[in-house]
Amino acid sequence: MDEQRTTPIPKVLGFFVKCLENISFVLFVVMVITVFINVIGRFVFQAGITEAEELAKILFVWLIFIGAVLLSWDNKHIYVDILVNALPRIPKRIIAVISNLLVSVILAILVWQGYYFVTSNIGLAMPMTKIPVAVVHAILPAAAALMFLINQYRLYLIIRGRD
Amino acid sequence: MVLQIFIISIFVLLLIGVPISFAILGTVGVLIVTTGLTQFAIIPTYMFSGINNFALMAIPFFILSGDIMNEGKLSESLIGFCRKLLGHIRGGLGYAAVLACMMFACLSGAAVATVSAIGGIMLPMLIKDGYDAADSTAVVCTGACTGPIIPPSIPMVVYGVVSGVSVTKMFIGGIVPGLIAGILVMGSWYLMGRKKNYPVEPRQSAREILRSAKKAVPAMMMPVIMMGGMLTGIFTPTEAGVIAVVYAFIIARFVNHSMPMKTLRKVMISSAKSSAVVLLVVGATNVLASVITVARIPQMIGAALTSLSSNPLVILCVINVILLVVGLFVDTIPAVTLMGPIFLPIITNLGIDPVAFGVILVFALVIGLVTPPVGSVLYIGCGISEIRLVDLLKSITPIVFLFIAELFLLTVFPQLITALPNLIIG
Repeated sequence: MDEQRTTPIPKVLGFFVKCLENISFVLFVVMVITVFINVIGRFVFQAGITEAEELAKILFVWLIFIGAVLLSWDNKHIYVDILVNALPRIPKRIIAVISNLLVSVILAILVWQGYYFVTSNIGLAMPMTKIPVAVVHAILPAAAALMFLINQYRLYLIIRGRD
Repeated sequence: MVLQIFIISIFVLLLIGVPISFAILGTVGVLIVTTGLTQFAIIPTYMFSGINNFALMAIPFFILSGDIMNEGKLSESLIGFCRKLLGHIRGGLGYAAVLACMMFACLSGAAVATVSAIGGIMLPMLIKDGYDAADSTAVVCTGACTGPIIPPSIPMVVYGVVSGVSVTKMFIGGIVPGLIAGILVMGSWYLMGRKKNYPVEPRQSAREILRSAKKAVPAMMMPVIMMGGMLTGIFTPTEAGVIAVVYAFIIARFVNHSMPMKTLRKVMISSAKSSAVVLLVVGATNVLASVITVARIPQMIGAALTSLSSNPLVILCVINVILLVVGLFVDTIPAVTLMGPIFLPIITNLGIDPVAFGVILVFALVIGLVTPPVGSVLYIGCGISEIRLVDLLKSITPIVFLFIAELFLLTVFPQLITALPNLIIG
């Protein structure tokens, strides 16, 4: 399913990817600690922190979308490759271009609709943590935009026959 | 018409190699454009809300705890214990491998994690000791299938969230089917080894076994803590997951001394990516599920099924066949998220217990992990033992048929699933 085709890395991008990896590491650690402290707190003091659950959920969603960008970078999204792998070289490349363009269209829809998803919530705050809803939601179009760019880079590699 | 558009677009998108989560969103796009039933605005909204769920947080926690245990050498102590315990039986190392798979299944919720953790260590051992490579790989791969059936289980968390069924109940419901599956695999190993002159290790003294058991205690305590906490209602599956993470980290870092910061960072980033794989699919399916409901697709499939027969058992058997076919081509998690919302309304209409159906659905789709053309466990197994797929298929096919037989056994006698959770939780 997830055949490995890692992309050759230009240096600036390598640094950027490293940053994303570190962010996901920190988000994950904070998320584990938040949920863990909440369980212990409830167990020991019979009182959970209501803000903790909301914060953990925000960290979780951010972690997943940043993880999605890293997956796009590694080209590790799961896909069905039985038909594609059975094809000879040239049709295989044509199909790869078509499927890449379709993914771009879908990501463009996510960015476009995600923009309204964010802007329609400006001014609202999360009920417990008071973090602006728009900031929480912003990860969706942001991640989709990054994946869109990575996808264009991959398209370039496919057309040049380097993928 | 809607049904045809739905089926054609999802198949075409998947076949030309569009990643599964994007193929699902693409299908939603096609349905919106062709039917005009709803608007594009639902895509980000439902995708976000599909992921933004406390129960689903159990998934990254279970993935992470499994990875930490593997890197932190907790699986090695389990294997050592199983080997000491069963080594003196003829072909004992094979039974030890299956038992180790089942014990690791109590710690991990995925088959891929189980086959990598146990197979990675035990398959080279088995082959070096002169066991048939294909047979050994077959029992380890099928033994690893108990990973998502014996609790905890990632597909069950996903099904629980999609269907609103208690995850804890499903976890307990998986215990008996998981044990039966393990026993079936061990029985197959016995039959495979009958004509072969397999080595026997000297019987270990009770003290020796006790010593290896002591080493395995930290790993074996973990399911006790998790299940104990869930059963008594002290914590939810998500919280059990976080406790597993912290526990595994403490053992790996301070008892086994094999979890420096650098390894932890690597493990956490790779777990974050594995979680993203799963949850993107879950989020995308949440969008699709809302469109499917508006388009009344479950009702259409339900009508088609009930026109075949009015007997719930017959319909359930037909659903099983559909699930087995889907499992051939689609990985477990996407299949659970796709099939769950479609079949659940049909099942509830027929008066079938949703907990029992959940376990049956997961079991049927897990069989797909050891069947080509899409069977991740199969390929990992081949990779570890460096054998050809054809050889592995020859050895594994009888066990797959035993699993299918068990699936229909569970369908006919759902009490095998529901008795235990009803007894414990009520």
